[in-house]
Amino acid sequence: MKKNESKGIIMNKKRVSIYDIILQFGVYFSAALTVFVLSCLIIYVLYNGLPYISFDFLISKYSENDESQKGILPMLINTLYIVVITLLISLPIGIGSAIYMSQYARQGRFIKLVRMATEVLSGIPSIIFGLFGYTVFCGLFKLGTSIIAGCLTMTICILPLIIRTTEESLNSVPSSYKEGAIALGTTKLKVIFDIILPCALPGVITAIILAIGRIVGESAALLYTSGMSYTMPKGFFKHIFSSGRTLTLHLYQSAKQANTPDAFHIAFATASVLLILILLFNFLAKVFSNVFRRE
Amino acid sequence: MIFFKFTSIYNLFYKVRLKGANVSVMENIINKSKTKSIMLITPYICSAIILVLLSFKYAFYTIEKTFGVLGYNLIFSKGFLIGDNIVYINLLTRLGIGGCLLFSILGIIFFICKKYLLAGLSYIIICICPLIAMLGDSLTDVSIVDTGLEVKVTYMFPIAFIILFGFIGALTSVLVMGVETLATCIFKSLAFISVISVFTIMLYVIVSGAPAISKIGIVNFLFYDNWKPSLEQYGILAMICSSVAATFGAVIIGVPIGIFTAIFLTDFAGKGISNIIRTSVQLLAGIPSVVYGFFGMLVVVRAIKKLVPNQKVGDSLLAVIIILAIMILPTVVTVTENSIKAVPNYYREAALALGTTPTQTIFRVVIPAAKNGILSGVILGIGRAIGETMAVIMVAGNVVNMPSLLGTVRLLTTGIVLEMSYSSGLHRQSLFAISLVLFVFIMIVNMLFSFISRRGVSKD
Repeated sequence: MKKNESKGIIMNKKRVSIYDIILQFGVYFSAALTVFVLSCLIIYVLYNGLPYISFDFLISKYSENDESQKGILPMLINTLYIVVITLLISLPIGIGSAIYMSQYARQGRFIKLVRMATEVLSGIPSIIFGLFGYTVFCGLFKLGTSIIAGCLTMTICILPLIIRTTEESLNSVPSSYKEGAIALGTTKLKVIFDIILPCALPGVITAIILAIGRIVGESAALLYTSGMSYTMPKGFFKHIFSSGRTLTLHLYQSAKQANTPDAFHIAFATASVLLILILLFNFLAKVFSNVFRRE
Repeated sequence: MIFFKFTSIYNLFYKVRLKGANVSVMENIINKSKTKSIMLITPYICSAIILVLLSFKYAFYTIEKTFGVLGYNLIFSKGFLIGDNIVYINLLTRLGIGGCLLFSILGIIFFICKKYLLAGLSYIIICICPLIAMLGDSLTDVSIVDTGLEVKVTYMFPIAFIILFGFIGALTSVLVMGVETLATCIFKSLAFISVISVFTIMLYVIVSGAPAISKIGIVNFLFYDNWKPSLEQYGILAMICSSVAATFGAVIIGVPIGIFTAIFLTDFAGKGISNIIRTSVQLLAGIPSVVYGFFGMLVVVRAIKKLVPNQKVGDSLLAVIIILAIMILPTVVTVTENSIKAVPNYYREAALALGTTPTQTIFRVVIPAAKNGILSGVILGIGRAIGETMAVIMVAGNVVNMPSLLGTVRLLTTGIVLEMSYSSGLHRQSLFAISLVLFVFIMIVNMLFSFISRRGVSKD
């Protein structure tokens, strides 16, 4: 009897339907496909691009006609300008609103309104931001296609990201810290700046790094706002008001215009630089969020 | 009656004491001394001085010859005539100086009403306004670039004094009320910026898109397949259909793969492998869309051209679908994985106890339980696919055609980008109308998303 029973159980385990097998096959196949596509993309770009990245490529100027000047220094500088200025504008706004949402506001209509606004903002495609920036910042404010117009557009783009990530990290600071400080007689402002913000700092840094990644990778919103010019900056502040293409736009342009193998090398090298930067930022963000979680 | 009066008086004192606990030491000093009466007058003086300053010559414009412009003239006149040329004053300048005027009056009004926070905020805005005006002035040359005149703007002393008195007004208002409440006010107004920008964008999209639709006619615009701007024919049916087809195709391919991958991560893979795959999928989400487009252009498009017989061009709807499917994968995987993890463990245990195989448990019990979360992931993916521009533009071929799997297509988003640089008049307006259509699509998707995610929450 016992033998039979155990056999029955084994039989039961082995009685797997074809349906199950197909589904299992689907699961393994899909996971393999996802990994394959991702590694394919990264390896393809890096394999073709890395040989053409040299120190010279990173620090020389760019010119469309001159074959000797095919570097990406202007694009790197423009990208840096856009990242720094956008962060300077959006961080105070984003962190300030996150502080309000998590520390001051009671659940009510205003909070719902802000939540809805950030949700809608994060869903709007970047091309609509680009059009908005093109008409409002470039046209209405007479900023022209300039880096500052691109920065203002990008500010609206990344605001939801910063608000959401910062708010999460502020909310995860134990309320006992806050209560203890208030019980000691500090004011609310002091609690926020001396206790909650320092505790939430890794989260805030994660938000910043994610935002940098987003800005570096953005293209559609910048196409018509910051423009396609590739000249070197003429003055530190003057450059803010002049047009400049970022790395992504450079990749787009050089890939679109490429018709010789040489031209594709530039595109590949630019794509590799872009990919390395993005992977680096994502990796950093992950490290910081892990640090935060451990604490 | 007397009792009632006592309680109300007590309440009054109690409130005063509560407020007193919050105010800074500085204010206690102020309350005690006679300086308070002086402080209560200062904002009036500041506002008055700013209003007077605006009637001075605010800026000197050098266009062939130099002439000064009064502050009030800058606000109320659009521009000035030089010979036959009109020099328009920059909008930012007018906004900035107008802001000085408006907020110095508002400051007094708020102060009289004892709304010290708002008064303080007004004075802070007054400090910023001249800077905005300066920014506008420095861009004036952009506005008259057609006339070929050179404009040089120099500022006069009023600007420094406006900032100074704005600062004094703000400082007194802050000290009367206390820093804490002002901080609240500032944080709240910062939070309001995102609300303002959303409503501005909505308003902008509708206002700029509506004229073209009303001129062309909504039926002609949406339901005719004839996009020929040179012939004044603006029917975007082909673009709408292509967008819908591309998104639909991407969902058909991407969603099953995404869901299966998520199941692999939660139930099939060991911890190490699933961590590696999860990290790499998250990396996939961060890669710029241009890189996807580049990859698609060189690999997917070429592959289609080689593998499909009689295919002369690889750029096609199929390439768009494949690229979009790859792009929505991370969203679908992450959201699905989270919602599968949120399914309580006793669902599985109960199902396993009833004798189902692990595979059956996942597909018959866990997935149906996580249905809402998965659906919201799919909708997020749809939103991303509809709005994608730069990756699509590099693989779609960009000819306006009704969608066919191997034919070139132009989507709504790429339609805007391709012709934006050289369009004008009704053509440009119709591009804005396309963005309105796109926006409506996105809003529908957003509403679906919030509806479904809310339903998921209430069910739990």
